[in-house]
Amino acid sequence: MFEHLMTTVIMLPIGGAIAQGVFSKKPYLQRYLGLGASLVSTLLLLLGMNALSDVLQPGGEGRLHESLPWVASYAINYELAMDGLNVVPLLLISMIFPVLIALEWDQRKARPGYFALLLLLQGALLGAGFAQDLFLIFFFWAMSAVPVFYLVGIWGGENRELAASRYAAFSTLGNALIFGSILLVYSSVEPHTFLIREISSTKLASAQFDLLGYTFSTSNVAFILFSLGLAMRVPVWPMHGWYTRLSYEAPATVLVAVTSGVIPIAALLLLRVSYPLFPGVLKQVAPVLFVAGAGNIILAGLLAAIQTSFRQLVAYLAMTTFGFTLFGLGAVNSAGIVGALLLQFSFGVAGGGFAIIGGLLRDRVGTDHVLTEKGEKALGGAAVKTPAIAFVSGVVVASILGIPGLGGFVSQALLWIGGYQSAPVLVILCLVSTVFGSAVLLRHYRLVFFGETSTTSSALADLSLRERLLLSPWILASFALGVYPKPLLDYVRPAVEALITQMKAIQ
Amino acid sequence: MKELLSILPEGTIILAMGALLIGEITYHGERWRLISWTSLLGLSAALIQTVLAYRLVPEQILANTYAIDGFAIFFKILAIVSTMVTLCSVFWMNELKQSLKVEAAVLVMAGCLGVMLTAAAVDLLVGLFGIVLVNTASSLLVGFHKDRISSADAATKQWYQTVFIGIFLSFGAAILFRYSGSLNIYEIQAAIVSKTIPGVAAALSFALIAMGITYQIAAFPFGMATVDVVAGAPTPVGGYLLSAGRLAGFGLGVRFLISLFASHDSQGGWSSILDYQWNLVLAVIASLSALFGGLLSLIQTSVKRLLCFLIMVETGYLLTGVAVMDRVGVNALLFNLIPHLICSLGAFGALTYFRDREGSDRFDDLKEVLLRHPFQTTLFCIFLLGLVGLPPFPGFIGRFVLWESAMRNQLPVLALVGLTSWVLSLIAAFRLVFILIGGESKAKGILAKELAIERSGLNGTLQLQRGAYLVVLLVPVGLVIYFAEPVMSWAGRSLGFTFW
Repeated sequence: MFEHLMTTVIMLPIGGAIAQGVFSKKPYLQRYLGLGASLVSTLLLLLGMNALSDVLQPGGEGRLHESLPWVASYAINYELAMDGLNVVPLLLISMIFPVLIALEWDQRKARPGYFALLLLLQGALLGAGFAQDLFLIFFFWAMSAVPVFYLVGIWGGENRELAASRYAAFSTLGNALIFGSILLVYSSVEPHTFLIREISSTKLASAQFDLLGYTFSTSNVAFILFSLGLAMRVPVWPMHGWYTRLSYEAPATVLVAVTSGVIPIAALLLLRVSYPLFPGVLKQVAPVLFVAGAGNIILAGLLAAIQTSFRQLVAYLAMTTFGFTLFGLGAVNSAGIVGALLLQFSFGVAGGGFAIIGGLLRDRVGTDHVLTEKGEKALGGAAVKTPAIAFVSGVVVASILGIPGLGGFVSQALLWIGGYQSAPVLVILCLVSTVFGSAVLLRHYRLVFFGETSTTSSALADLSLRERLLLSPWILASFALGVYPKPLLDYVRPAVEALITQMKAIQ
Repeated sequence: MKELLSILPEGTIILAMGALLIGEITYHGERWRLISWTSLLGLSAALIQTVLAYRLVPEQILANTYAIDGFAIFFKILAIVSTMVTLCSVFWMNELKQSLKVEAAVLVMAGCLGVMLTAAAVDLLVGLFGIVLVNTASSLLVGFHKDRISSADAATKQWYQTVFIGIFLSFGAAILFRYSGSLNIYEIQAAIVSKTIPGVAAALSFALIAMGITYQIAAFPFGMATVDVVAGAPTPVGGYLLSAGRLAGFGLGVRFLISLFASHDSQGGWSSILDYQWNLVLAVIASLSALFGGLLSLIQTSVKRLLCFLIMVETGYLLTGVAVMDRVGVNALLFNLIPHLICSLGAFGALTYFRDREGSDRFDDLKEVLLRHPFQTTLFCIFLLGLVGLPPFPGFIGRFVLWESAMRNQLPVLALVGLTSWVLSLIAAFRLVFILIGGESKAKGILAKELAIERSGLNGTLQLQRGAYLVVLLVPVGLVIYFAEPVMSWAGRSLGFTFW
């Protein structure tokens, strides 16, 4: 039954995207097909997770696996797997996309293609998450850049041209760097292969190549190219300009798709590729990852303090979160890495929820700014008029802040534990900076929902029943991860520990 | 008799051309349908015959001047398919006057014949004749809009190109003939190896032939002139020049350069038999083409010119395949030609539609064209992104193989330049896509122009055909992605000629 499950999970959204074009004159059918494809893909992924729990062994071994030769003469394989490392980001993507499609149910009627692009993005991200062959990873990862460009370029705000162009420039450069990296890895290993499990990191570590009369270490250059390539698609200082612009111009659902879809997959790829292939380099650059993570956290925390827009705030929060992720991945210990993976999930649902609320505010009252240009309250007292929005916002803010009982707490606690073992001073510095972030978030919340009800807020309509139903899985997931994280930890921790053991054995 | 059977596809095309001309002179009824069916049926028959030629044993025929082998069949198939697509553009679009369509069809088919001759030529004169035939037909086609200054200017430039390419190739051939006394490329190669041809003469001959070929394939710096030619030519002709015209150059280039100036080495590749590594010259031209094409594509404001520069980048990549001097590289070149040709023809096909409906190919006039022609714009974007090799389109598989081959052959600079120019061309393509889908239309007058063209009479069937042939082109794009391995293996088998 599960022979081609992962292919089906990937192909359903892509098929749904193609079907959008086939039934272009029947908008209702388009929507139902789109949502149906996305939902069935999610259900199949859940089935896959269930099957995975049966095959997982205490040592972290065991995975669902599909493999076919694609271009055999160049050792390019269509190899997919579901294991403890990718199960969390894949679950997140599968939870996010059907909701995003449903949230746009009555919107964007003017131009066809919105659902098709969202579905294509879902399929590409799932593919990148499942892929175990470097070439296939690149195939899906580069493919995922295209829908976002169109979604921002067509349906974005006033300055969508600038946002889409910046995104295109960064993603293109990033993809080229990744392509260069995998090319280098492929050429350096004998026999040539793209399969991560077949590439010997020991041989890779000793490989060298000559360029313009200089000799370079293959693994050093390949790691730098790969990580820089990924950095172009995530909000990392100093390459974050595209993301802050996109956060303001993109439709809210697209912002969520990038924040809760693209960024977690980037983190997964860094883990999936760099740990097994470049363990030596990773050990050397761990301090750099720490500093980059800490820099991101501190800088984004400070910049968040001066933001007045909900969605700009999401951008800087995402930057902070990715800083945490780098911190966790750089710790090279179980707690840090598990924390980083869980943080992607908890911020994915909470940050996504926050961006959706920002989008709702902009759609309903024309602004998502908490202060006017003169520094006066743009919104205020909204909690009385819109208790459901206030509740959802409260939960997501609390989760982002890491309040106990919500998803953010578990992941951040693990990250700090993992990070403290490696760089205690930086952890303390980062904790201080998160206080700034917390103050800003709470200030935003207070300015919008508490105090006297403003004229703008009185015109704000509360969440409809459908919106409540759609957002409820995210809220429930936040609580579930905060109260009972064991099911997810059971998937993730053994796989991470196995990866670390494998890495240490190589060294 | 067997030899005649071997050249049946060429004969069928000549017959179809004759039928078109006779029909044009003698039949005065409803001509349009007759023209399109005659030419497309003739080409289809030639295509089937060409595919059936795989059953023949590879050999040199017609007094060792013409080869029937996998390489020739590969290029013939591509040439016939390119011609069919170009003819669809010619027939179902408005840019060329109705009264000139027969002449256009005959000339396009003559060009196809030229490509077939170059691909199968093992004799210097036959190759030269093929190239001259392609270029002469192209020059006449480019000047079809002689009432337009840009078209007349382009035609003049194309004539210059035809003359210069002819001079380079014929002088190169003359030098080789002077010393070897033969026009057969394999006999000449033996003469170079045995030093019957002095090293200086062989080197000079290589320089001239290589210049002619790089001119023909629109590599830097000669490609700059091709850009002007394409910009002034009618759009379907521009697509034809960049597909069939360059195809002839690649067919001739791969066979002649490798068979004349290289010999097999022990590692399954080739090595130069001249006194210097001539492949490094090609590597420099490939790098410059990719880099300049990428840089110049960023500043274009006309879609035609942008496509030309993107194709120049691609030419750089394809030339890399020869510069690395191994089977994998040339195999990748052949593999890459398939998606490259399909995507460039598709992009020009869609652009011809825009040119018909919007009256322009300038960025300013095509802003938000997605709103006005969503179907054609989507197709154009797919072909454009396929042309620049963005995943999931098949071009990126070919790029990988080319660059990997460059790295394996100690030419990592080629891979580095390739990656850099790839970024530039992707940015240029994204910029154009954005203009087509976003940005407010500045040219309000376009609507009136569009309506005027609409009224000029396009029936429903024609509308369907306009889109249908472009959709059909998507099928091979998808198939090449899915069946990359068999397609690559087909391309690899087509290299058999070098092992005679």
